[in-house]
Amino acid sequence: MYCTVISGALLGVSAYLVSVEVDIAQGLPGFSMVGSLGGEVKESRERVTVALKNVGLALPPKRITVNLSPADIRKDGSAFDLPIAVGMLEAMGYFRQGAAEGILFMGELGLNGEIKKVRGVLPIVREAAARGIRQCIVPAVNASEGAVIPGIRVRGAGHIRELLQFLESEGEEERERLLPAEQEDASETFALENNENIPDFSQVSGQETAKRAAEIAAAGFHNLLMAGPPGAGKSMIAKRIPGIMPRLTPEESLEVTSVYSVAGLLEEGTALMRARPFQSPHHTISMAALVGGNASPRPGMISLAHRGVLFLDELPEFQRVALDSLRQPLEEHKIQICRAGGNVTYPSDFMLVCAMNPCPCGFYPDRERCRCTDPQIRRYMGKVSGPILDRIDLCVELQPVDIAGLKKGRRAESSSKIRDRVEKARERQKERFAGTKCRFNADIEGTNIERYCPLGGEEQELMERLYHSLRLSARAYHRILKVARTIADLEGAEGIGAEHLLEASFYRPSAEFWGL
Amino acid sequence: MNQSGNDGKEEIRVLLRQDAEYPERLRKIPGPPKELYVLGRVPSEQILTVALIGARDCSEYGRYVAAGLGAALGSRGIQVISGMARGIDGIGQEAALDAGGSSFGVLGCGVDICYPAGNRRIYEKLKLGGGLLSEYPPGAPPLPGHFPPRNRIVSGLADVVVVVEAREKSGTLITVDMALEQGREVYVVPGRMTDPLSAGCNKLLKLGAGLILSTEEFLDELLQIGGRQGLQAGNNKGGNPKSINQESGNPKSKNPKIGSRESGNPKNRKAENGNPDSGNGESAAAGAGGRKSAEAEAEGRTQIKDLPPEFLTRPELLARPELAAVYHALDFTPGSVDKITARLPAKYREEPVNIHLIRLCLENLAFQVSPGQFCLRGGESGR
Repeated sequence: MYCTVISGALLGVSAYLVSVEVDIAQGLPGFSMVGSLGGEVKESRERVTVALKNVGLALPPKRITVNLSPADIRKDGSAFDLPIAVGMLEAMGYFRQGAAEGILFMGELGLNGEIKKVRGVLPIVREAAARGIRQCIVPAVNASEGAVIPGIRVRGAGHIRELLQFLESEGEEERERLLPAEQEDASETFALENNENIPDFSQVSGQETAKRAAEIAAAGFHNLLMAGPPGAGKSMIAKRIPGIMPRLTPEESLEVTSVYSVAGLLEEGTALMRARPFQSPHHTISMAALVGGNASPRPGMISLAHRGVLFLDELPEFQRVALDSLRQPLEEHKIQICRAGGNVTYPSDFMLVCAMNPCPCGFYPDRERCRCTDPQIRRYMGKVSGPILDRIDLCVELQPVDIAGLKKGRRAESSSKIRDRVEKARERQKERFAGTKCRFNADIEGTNIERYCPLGGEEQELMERLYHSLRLSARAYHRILKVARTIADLEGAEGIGAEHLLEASFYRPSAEFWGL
Repeated sequence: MNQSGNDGKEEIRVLLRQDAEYPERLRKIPGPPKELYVLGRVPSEQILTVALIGARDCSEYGRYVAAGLGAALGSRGIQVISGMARGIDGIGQEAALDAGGSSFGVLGCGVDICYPAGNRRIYEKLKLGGGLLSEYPPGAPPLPGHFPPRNRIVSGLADVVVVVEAREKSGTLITVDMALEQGREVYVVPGRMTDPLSAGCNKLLKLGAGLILSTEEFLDELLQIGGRQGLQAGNNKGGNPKSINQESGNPKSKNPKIGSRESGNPKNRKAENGNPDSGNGESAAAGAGGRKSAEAEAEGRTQIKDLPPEFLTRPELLARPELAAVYHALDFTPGSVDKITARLPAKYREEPVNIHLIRLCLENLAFQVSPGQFCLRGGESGR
């Protein structure tokens, strides 16, 4: 007796369909599984047989063969338990032949028959919908995640027995009663504001230049470096940046949710992630955890920060290899991970926000308090690799907050007000870059900088003087132009003016500041 | 033999104590070096010589004063001795050389080694415009133990020792100790009592060291000391325009303020009497550090007395009172934008101060020490 059940597997953040073929035949009793299986998939033999036994569905003493096709791609994860069990039940004749046809199954089985949470429901359901499948059954806790995909009915099942009842039943109504399709209207939930978890800028008093830098960075998707003594409020500002970035668009939200789904980090019952992610890995993080990796690749921190903020606090303390591995993703907005098990690509379009003390003790250049020697400072700064500094457009220094400033307590601007300006600036960028591969001012490359950042005669002259008196490098020169473009966008100005260039110069990152 | 320093040929000579060329000043100090390795020239016996010393991690104020003093000494042909260290030493020496004077670096390693390596430019200039001296043979590494003994040569070669900035416990004060032991005059640049970089200086002042209140006043005293000892200010080789324009990337050399300073400066004109070809050096002095003194001398012309000369010659700057206000809020101690804003008159506090500061940097009036801190610009030397 042979039958086929549809399931799916992940490849990066995308998915492909897998057909699970089960054959039960006369012969020496045994259970073999083939199809290029990873460790967890091979173990599913034990989980499935024990789970079926425990719900009272004894396996016949026959020869059982399971094949996962396509057989040449390595398969990982525990989501094949459910389709294998369904295939076996069908082959054993527990329900009508063809009752499971056209339904995608995924889920992990507990030994008591419970159906448990799995990774990657969203991308697999999306792939299934794209391939014309109209129904799928996923673990109950993952149901709302899958339900955001239109055009496919997603049912959540909590136990193998419920599922069996469903498959035994006849008629659409009866089925709908047993396992109702999850309703999730993406467009409706989407309209809701979902920034309540992101702290607000109105709680930060003072630090005007740093807040302004954060606004510029968010508006042009520029990477930002904050230097300052401990306790000046660097992380406080960084945590608030996702709240001033434009709201996630539905497509962006789907991308972000897919990454979290693949990583298995989606909270139970979450349909779509609607807030921009904020990831703040500890500085001891390994390269694999940062960019993604493992023998069977998983998204790293940079992918979990996709469309949001990756905040690296204590930048010089990070391992050099980990920081250097950020170079490709910062350029290409995605990361390709190559392992023996295959190559996967994860999206990693994040805004890099870094914070650091200016020297080991944190008080440089305040020579009254800083007792670090020059070589110490140079060593400290040298830990931040040049190529990373080269990809940072804005740099701002925070001063220790004095008590007078705290008391003055002029209520600061709220995040939503800042976000309104940022969104307007983004609109202007969208118009400017329509039909090109640039999306934000930060994406402007040296080759087309003259096209997007034209300067008038007077501004050109000013820029040349800035170039000489601030001893800019060619890179720094371009970065100032890009940031000036964003400042002009924030102001709604058509062309870049002198004030924009001067303000952009103020925020220029320069190794010179640290006496290098 | 004496000319070898000027032909650019790198020839290291060794002078023994009995050699005629061995500096007479050194012969008289307690514990003179047995042998002296020289690359370039040896300081002249007949010319007034000043040791300009101070902290390595100097402040912008120290940089400003060292550059000003170095240039003033160099332009008057007074020899400048120092240790070619980072900070005050190198800045003063380079300013003296750029003003057309001669300067000598006493090293704590072999004279063939440039230590600190970051001062390579000054090292090369010293080879041409003066000399490098050491009691250690060529190839000797810069060991920590070499530097305190080196300091006795610095002070030993000089008639007067000038301390620009020194912490309370510092190598500079070791040099001062040696200088006093050797009977040298010690002059000190005063600082604020809260500034640790001036703590050593102020302590020396309390102990009775000579006080430098202005470059001109100090030069007058210096020439008197020289006169008593039968020494003269040497000939400034300031006719060498190359040395002045060496910092060709520096827009300052094209700055019109030099002209304005020359004309409005009767006091300096007087001081230049008898030194007809010091004009070039004077310009360099103005370029490096004449700003504040010019400002002081503009007193009396009340409507402009508070503005730096750059403002006077630039109508576009004169028309912007907020820039002048920000300029006045600046200090030699680096201050954050918030701090500078707080110092402004109330009506300017809502101005975009960071933009004004960058504009001042553009005019070479301010200096961005770090992304958020600014101070007055203390000259070009040693950057």
